[in-house]
Amino acid sequence: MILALLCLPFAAALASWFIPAHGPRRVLLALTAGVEMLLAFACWMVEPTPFFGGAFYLDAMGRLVLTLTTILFFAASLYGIVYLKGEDSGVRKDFVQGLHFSNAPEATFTACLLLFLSTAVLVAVTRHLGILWVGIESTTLVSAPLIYFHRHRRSLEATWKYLMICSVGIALALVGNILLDISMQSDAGHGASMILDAMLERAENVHHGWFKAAFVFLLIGYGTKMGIAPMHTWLPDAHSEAPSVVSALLSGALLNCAFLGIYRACEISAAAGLGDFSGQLLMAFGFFSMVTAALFIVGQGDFKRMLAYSSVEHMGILILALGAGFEAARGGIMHMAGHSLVKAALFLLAGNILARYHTKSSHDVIGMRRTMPFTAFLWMAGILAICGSPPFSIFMSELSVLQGLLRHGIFPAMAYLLLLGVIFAGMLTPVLRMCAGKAPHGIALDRKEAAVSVLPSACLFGLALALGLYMPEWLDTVLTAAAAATGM
Amino acid sequence: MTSILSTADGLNAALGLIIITDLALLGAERQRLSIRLIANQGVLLGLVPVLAYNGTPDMYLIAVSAIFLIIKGVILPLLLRRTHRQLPSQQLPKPYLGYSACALLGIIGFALSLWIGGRLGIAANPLFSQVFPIGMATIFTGLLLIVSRKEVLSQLFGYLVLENGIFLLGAPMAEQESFWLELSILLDIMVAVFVMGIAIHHINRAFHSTYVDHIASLKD
Amino acid sequence: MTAPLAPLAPLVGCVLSLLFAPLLPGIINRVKAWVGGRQGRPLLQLYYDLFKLLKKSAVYSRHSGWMFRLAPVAGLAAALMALAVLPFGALGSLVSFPGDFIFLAGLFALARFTLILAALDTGSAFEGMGAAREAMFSALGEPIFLFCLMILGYRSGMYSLALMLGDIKPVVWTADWPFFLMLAFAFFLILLLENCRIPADDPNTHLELTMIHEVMILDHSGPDLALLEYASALKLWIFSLIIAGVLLPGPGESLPVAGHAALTLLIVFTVAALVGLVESVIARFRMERVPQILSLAGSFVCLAALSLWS
Repeated sequence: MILALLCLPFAAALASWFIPAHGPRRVLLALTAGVEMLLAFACWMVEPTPFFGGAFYLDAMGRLVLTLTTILFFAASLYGIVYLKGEDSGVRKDFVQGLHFSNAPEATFTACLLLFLSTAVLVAVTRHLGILWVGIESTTLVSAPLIYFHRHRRSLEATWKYLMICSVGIALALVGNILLDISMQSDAGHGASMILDAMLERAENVHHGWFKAAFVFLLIGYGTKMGIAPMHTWLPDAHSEAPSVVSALLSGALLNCAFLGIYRACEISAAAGLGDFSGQLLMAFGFFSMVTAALFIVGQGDFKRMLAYSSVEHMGILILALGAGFEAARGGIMHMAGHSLVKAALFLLAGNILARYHTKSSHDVIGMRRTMPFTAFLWMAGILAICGSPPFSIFMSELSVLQGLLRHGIFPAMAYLLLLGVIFAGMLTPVLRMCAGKAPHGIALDRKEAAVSVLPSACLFGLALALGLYMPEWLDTVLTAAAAATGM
Repeated sequence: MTSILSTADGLNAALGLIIITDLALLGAERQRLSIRLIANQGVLLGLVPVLAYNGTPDMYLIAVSAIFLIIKGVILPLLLRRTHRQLPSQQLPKPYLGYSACALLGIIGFALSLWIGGRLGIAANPLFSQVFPIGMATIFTGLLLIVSRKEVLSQLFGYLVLENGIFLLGAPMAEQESFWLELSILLDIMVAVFVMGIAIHHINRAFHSTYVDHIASLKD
Repeated sequence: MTAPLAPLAPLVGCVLSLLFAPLLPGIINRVKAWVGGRQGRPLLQLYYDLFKLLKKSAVYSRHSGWMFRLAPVAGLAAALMALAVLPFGALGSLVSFPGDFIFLAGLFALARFTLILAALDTGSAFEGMGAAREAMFSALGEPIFLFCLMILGYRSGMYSLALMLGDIKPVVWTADWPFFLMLAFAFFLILLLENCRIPADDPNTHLELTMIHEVMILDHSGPDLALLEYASALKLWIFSLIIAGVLLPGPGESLPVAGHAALTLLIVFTVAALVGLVESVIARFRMERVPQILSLAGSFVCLAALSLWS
């Protein structure tokens, strides 16, 4: 089962490289995404057998990430088909700098999308820390060409920053892995197994000094990939310059993969009895990310960058929750799910807006409720959801993170609420301006919107809403199990 | 090996040469010299697993080390050289930090990593304690190169040096069962360098320059 | 070396040094000529030059004063005193006391000081320029030279030249050979700089604008010039001797003192040959890049020092 999950997108990627016609390739993309999603669902019914000495095994957290990734990928691929149809391959004018540019070949783009799915799945299904590292590094490499789909200068700059900063960050995570291995070795020349189960067993005898160093390196390394401030600098650039489909995948799937790396480190840290040390570190970085995001969201004139900084904020909340104890961690893991669904949908909608208005400035986009009513409605709802308004699941999860924080005293909780409030105001101001008002001249007033361009987003919002209203028992057990593994 | 020089001396000599190549890289102005230095460092790194091995190395170890050596010492420098050739010959921009200052910082980094190694306590694997300061200093060198240089290819050099340092740290852990892991990590790095090389090629075409200062339009 | 003659051993070393010192520039020139495919000057050229200069009489400018006449004598005196504290291999030194390595550096400084003053005394613009450069580079080089010697003393635990250069135990040497090798390399770089060899300075160029050392002695003639030339040959010899001391562990059972002295002599000549090789392969640096040689030397001393860390 796991093998099928891994090999299917990989084979499809190879195939799509060689399929010359656009039609069959797009069908293949959607088909692969659909089958992969069904396979992931099947993993909830049937326990997949671990193989390769337990290196590949679906635990609670892995299952969650896997399911989220495949759902998002399916939605994005449906959207992507329409998107790719609209993107002719000719030379076009860039609406920011006025220079001409063309797109990357569609075959390469599709292949890289599928490869991205394959590497993200690899990250989710492995419990071997070495393979986890290889998977996360591979996601960087295969997603770099995706960011450089529109071949103009700004996307190139974003790609370069993304490649350089993330590669260096992940290299530091590798140092962390090596130090982790060292801290586990009890006698010379006997290498410790890098499989999580074996590590958790030996965690009690861990050498504290080396382990702390290892944890710091892992946090910094995977934190870079996850967009934790102050290592987040690549994130706004990459998210704003990539095509919207890719931004959705980056924010919804890629960041979760990096989070998984930090989560694994926390598991070992908890087993080693160093939960306090790692918790404090995580909370400090989490708060710092939220503050940074709040500073940059207020007054942000570019709506895609605004979404990107919102991702920084939510990654901060995730880390904060992970460090704040069991209840908060449970909320945080649920938050991961809610954020992925809503943020991916928002990026897809941002793609619609961009296609209609040809600008990323939120000052120039006005009157959306007249020009594109469905998108405007969903956009508004999505922004409310991502800011933590009641019926959506993000509200529930942010509430339980708050509960967890209250255990640490009143001040962290108050700071947390204050930051959420600032971000709420900062995000809603431009969004209200975008939706309301008259339609500007020169924008077509036909109210038609392709169903497939709004349906994926609508479905994702529906899922987030459903999670907020009703928590099925099976999901509840999985969340509790995932949070309990961090054992604080 | 003669009686005067034991294998431990061989390892020491390799480590010493690695730290010297680090400093030379920090002080090197010309990129062709840097590429040659990286190749030398790669060859030295390929030798480390053999030198670090206690007893007579078997065929398997030698074969794997040879693969490492070829990738690190031959293929990666060739990739770099290819990218270097594609760029027009240009006057390199002055780095943020002077070359001598960089070398000095490199020495301070070495001293710091010795200090850290001493503070963290003795690892169970004695070989690791021996390799740690040099590996850490090499990582520091790589970071310093990335931060101080203003040209994208030089930053790529920094990334490679960083990876070399990590490889050095990982070398004492090398066991027969985990070679596949190291190999896949190495392949990943190779692909990374390849992708970055392509990116540099595109940057040169789009911007007619590879200076970092010219590629800075995205900001808040 | 038999026992009754042992007190005379340092004297033997000094005599050897005084005799062979002018040979080093000859060796350098021959190596350069050999690499360049030329016949080259005779090996003993400097001896001929010295004799010829000694037979001539000196010419003094009306504007120069007593400082101008003092410099050659002071320079030679400083070099001779340096020879007295420096051990020749294991033969020991005439005078030895803890901290005499600082005395050695001080002697070099004294010679330089008088020479710079003499150059300024002539009132020539060229010589003033050379003096300024000499002052700057030596100000940069001296701390590194002292640091080298200090580290060496720290390693051996003894702070007199005779013990820390002439008597490195073979056990110590094999245990810490990278340290000694790096230190020797640093000394070699300092040698290039202090003795005005390529890449720091070119003694053979005929453009005074680009010279450092040679430009300062333009106005000296006759016996004065002979003394200066001899002193600079001695300085080169002293640096080579230091390198030989660092590279060669002291005599043990397998190596008698006499053999050790012969080996020392051999290393000194090899160092000179190396200088010649370096001069044939490397071009002279631009003036503003000369301090880079020093930063390289400094890097190596620091590395050597760090390699002692445990």
